[in-house]
Amino acid sequence: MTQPDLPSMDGTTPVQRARLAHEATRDLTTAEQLGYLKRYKQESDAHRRERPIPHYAATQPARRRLAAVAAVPFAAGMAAAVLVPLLDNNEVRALLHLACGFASALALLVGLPLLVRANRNLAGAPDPLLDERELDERGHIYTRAYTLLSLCIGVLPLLAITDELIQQWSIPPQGGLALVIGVALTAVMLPSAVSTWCWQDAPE
Amino acid sequence: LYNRLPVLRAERSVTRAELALAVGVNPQTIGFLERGDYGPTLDLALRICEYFHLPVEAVFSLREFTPMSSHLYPRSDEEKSP
Repeated sequence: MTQPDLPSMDGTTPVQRARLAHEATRDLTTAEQLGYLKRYKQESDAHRRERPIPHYAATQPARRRLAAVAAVPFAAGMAAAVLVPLLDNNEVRALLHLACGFASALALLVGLPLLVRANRNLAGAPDPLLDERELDERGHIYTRAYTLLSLCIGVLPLLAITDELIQQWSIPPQGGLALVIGVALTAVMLPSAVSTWCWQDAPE
Repeated sequence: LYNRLPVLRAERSVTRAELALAVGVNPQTIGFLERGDYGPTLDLALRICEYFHLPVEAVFSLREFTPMSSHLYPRSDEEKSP
């Protein structure tokens, strides 16, 4: 049986494409559906890579400002763990914890898609879609992201030791959790953020 | 690593996109090569040379290329000098 055509990637929304793909594969066997979905993913990844750099990331200063969004979950986690416990008022403390959590979630849910679009998904694209220069560049990006992540993780034992030494100032258990979540969310965003930070404009 | 890609492309009216498609890279990579911001692997260098039907030393060099015009039209005072 011949495989049905993939939905057009231009002029359709992801929801419309998903609906078309669902209709096209309804009568296929499981193996055929898997084959169709594999082709669909390849086409979709290639289409995502072909999109031009959006206007909000057109210049290097704009890209670097956007890349700084990856630091938001880490900074919010630090604030929730270290600064908020210093406050006396419980209500204000709870409110600030909530604000830190909201800022982290917003940075991830809004910032990450913007970052991915700004570097044409260089950090996450499948290998066959990248040429040798891009694969080489991605290697450098992962090295830098790994170094930065090591530094972020290095802060955790450092804080624990400091907390032990200075008895008057103590990080509560929920503060430690906020810090770990902050580092984890930053870790998710780091490769795309580094890629956006290092992105060079294509020659004229 | 220096190269003559801009000259060769202009001479043969080949766009970056056409060359990129022929050698299997993204057009931006051709731009980075021409600007000297990226040194190609041996594999890519050979594919580019194959596309232009030229030996490697005609397209890539470790030293800066002299202008093609000076090869075609050497200065007369150089020819006459003892």
